[in-house]
Amino acid sequence: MVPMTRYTTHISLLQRVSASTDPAAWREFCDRYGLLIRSFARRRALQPADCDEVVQDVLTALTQAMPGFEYDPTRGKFRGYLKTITLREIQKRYRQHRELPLATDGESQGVELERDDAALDQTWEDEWRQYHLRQAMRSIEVEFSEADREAFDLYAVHGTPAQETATRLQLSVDQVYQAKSRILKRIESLIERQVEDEG
Amino acid sequence: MSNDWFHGDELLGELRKAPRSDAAPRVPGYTHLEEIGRGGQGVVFEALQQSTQRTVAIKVLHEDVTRVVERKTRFEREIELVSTLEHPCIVRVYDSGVTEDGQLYYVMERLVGVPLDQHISDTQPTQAWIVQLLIRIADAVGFAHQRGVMHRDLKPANIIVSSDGAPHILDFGAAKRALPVEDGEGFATLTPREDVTVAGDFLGTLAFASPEQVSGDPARVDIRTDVYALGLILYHCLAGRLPYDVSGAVATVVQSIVDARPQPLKAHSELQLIVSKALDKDPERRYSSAHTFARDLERFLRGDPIEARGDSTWYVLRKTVQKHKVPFGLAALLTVSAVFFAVSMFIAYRNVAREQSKTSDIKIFWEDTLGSVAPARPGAAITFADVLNEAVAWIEITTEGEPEIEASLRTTVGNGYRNLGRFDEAEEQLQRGLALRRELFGPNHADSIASFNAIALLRQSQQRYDEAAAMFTAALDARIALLGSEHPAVAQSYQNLGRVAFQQQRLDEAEALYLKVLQRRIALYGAKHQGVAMVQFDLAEVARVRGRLEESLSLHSTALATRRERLSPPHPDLARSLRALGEILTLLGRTAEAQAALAEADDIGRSLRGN
Repeated sequence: MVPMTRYTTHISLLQRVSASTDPAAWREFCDRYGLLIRSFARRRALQPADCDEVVQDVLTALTQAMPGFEYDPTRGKFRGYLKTITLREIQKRYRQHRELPLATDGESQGVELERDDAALDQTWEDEWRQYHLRQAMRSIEVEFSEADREAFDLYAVHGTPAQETATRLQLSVDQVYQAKSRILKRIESLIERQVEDEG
Repeated sequence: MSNDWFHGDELLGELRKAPRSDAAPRVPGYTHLEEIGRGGQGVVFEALQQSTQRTVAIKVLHEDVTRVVERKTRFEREIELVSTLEHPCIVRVYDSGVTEDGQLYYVMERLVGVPLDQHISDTQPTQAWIVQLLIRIADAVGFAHQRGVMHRDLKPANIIVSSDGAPHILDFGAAKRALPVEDGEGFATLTPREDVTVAGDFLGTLAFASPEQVSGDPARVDIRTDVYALGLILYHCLAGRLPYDVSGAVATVVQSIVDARPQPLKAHSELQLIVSKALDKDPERRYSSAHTFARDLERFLRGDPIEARGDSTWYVLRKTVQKHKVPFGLAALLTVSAVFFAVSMFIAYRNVAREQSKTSDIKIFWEDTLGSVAPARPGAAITFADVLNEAVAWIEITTEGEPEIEASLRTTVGNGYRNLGRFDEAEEQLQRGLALRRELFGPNHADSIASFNAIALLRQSQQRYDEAAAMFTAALDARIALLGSEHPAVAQSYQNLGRVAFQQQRLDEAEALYLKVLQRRIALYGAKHQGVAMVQFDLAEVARVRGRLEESLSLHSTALATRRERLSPPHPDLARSLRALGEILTLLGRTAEAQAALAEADDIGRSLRGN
């Protein structure tokens, strides 16, 4: 059995999940992708209870598919696969409720969710990026001091002036700048690796 | 999708989008707070209400009120009022208070959905669907108005569409502080402490603000400010953009809101008219309420005549009456309305076809004329005769070389004089109208016959009934020859003949003629039509004179019901029906009902007179 580390690669996780014998791998897998699926479902206007069901059903579908899922180095294969089954589950919920606005005349294109349009792609892409950020931030949390992380958050993310950030955290302005550049660089390299890894 | 989003500024941008769960405030009575959104005003959390175990949303405002007791009291008063609003399309507010850190918060229904603009761009609904959605939104806004609550910050971001397609309005009565019009706090939410989202939020609010809001005159902000925002939302849903450019500097945007003419909408011309009326820079010329806006949208969907089209007639009329405190009696108003109805019909007919320029000429005519009338003697009240005299002068000056318009206006004004009892003036205008039309089109043209018929109506008013009957018969024959016996104008001729017969006490003949008209109109338009109501009214009067009071009551009631459905109050025909009904009820000894009907008729009369 592969020992759990702070950072498990996507490939090794997929392999372990594919082997279907490792509950820890599944927990890790659910942790990682559950939030992604849930956020996406919410942004497609599903009720919270429905979102939970979508997460469960997508993960169940994955469980069934994964043992036969062979890692394919073709880029984006897993990502595309996950998106497809997530959308399928969301559409199922809509059909159950018949709750989409139906047009009142013949001009309608039918149910909007059937269409794989640009807005939907963008939503998925947004959620996917947030997913990668969350993964990367897990490492940042253990690799950097609290002061560095707060400086990064205040100065780089919130846009608080460097001087004010320094005063508030009792750091020098230079330390604030350094925290920003070091953490930013680290996130970049972490995500780069994750994206490569994702295949 | 780009694969280098995780570098530099783009990466920071993504990080800023991430929901933050840090520092959830402590709100007594609520647990499991989880941030679900943030904006200029505050942060929204999902939470569990302990007492009910229901999931709610809590909006915690940025404002720190520990030092401002007065602010807290006012906030609580506002929330108390808003919490009385129970409407399926208004997000319920349950509770409010101050967090342990001294921040104001209010608790509302937890709703899952997407903002209206996203819903529209995601689902690309049809125009009819958008209009229906707006009707629901406007009705909810009207509901709040009736309970004394204005919104003042209606915009797509404040309307959430749930997965069943229903709109839900957020932040009622709570969002107004975002604009500088409300009070001395001004741009209080734009403190340096806040980040970019505040600026974004403010600009979103600014883009959907009305002229009276940005011109900084709080006294002029009323429910019609919300009507303006509804117009903007409708425009935005239909066009995917605002009617004017709101992208520049704040001062430029303000200028656009105050001055810029909305860019034309690629929509049905009637829908365009409705949007324009809602977006009028002058609140006085907008729909008077969210409900009247909603009703006009319904009329548009049904294909009925919309109120917005009558804007330049009814509006100008009422405006004139109000401005000059004209002592018009109800009867005079009925007269005026008949003239205006004629003009509106003329406009409507012409508009259908191609003669756009003539339509606008007529419009200018009414606006100019009624805008510039002065009383005959300085200091005296203006009379309808003054209006007509002014109109005649206007015709002489401006219709040179446009005989068709001149003829139409002379006929209309002539009808106005006739209704006022000024028969000599009426005779002159009607004869000149008839002569012009005969010269233009020959004697057997529909317009020439209409002018001839107008003179027959004059004879009727002069009580020269035999002459009138002969002329009506001639007009009837001409119409049948020209238009065929089934044409609506033929039915109108039968009705005219019926009325003369009624006045000459030939009741059998009158009743037979009216029944013929009733039958034809029902076949043509269905039972619920204004023309049907009109002849039911006449039949009811025959029944009354013949002592068949129950039958008369039933006919009057039916006519009134149709008029209530088809006319937007206050309308003179509603007052007429109510008065007639009141008289019948009095005769039947049903005094209380009679008094109610007569009182309502009086109310309508009063609001028509502008007080």
